[in-house]
Amino acid sequence: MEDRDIQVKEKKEVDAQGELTREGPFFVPNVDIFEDDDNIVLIADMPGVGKDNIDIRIEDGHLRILGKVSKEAPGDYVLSEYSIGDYHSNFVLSTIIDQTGVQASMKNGVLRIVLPKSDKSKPRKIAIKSN
Amino acid sequence: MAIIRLKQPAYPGSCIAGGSSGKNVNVFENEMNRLLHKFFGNDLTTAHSNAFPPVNIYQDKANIYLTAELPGMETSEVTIDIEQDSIQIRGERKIENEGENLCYHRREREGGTFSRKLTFRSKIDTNKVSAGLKDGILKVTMPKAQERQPKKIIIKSE
Repeated sequence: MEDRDIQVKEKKEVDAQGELTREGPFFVPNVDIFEDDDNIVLIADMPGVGKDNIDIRIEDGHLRILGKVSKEAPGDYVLSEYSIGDYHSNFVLSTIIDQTGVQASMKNGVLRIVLPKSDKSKPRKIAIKSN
Repeated sequence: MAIIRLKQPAYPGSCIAGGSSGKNVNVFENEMNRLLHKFFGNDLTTAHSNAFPPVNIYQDKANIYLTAELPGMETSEVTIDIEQDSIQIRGERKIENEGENLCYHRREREGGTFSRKLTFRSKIDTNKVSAGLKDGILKVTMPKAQERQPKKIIIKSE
């Protein structure tokens, strides 16, 4: 693949939901979501969020991600090109997911969640019998 | 080609010098922004830049600090070049190929090469610069060269 310049994306700010009590702006992480035969995979960029500062919940058919970011500044602001705030994201899970088998990992500020599909929703190959 | 951008607004007393164009037309605006920032925090005053990565710069008496969001990047993938009065950050963010025959529902994460240079008004002690990458946040600490640090003069009573 040829070298490609990275595209600049501004962070998307959202309104905090009622139950959240933390101060400051909330951001929606940039995500990739893809599926293969067995899993649906969600990858989210959440720079500044360590693995101990992330809360992932599955409730009422929703996958909720909340990542806390330290807002400590090392000194006085001179230039601010990006805002700092917690990440919040909400996805509706379809019933085809085996909610007990969900796995999540966090590395270098990137969250990866693997949502296995339940057996009944996996594609089945139908063998054709020859007579 | 990578993005190279010499930016920076200047205002009196800041450690950041004007860009290559030289003219500091936005002195007033920048100073206002800085004051607004003190009152209202981030939201109103974020200077959206079209260069990657967006950076935040802070300073205290001894150091200039630069932070940037580089999620998913390893230390080996980022190169920092320091000169007495400038810093250049280069690298390539790779989005892994997850395999064939995948059905993508969303694809928002971006990959590609980047290069960015910022110029400072104050001199940096290049030997003592340190940088770290944690949880996808790059933080560079640049001590100001001695002569730029404020010096306290003790007044003796006679």
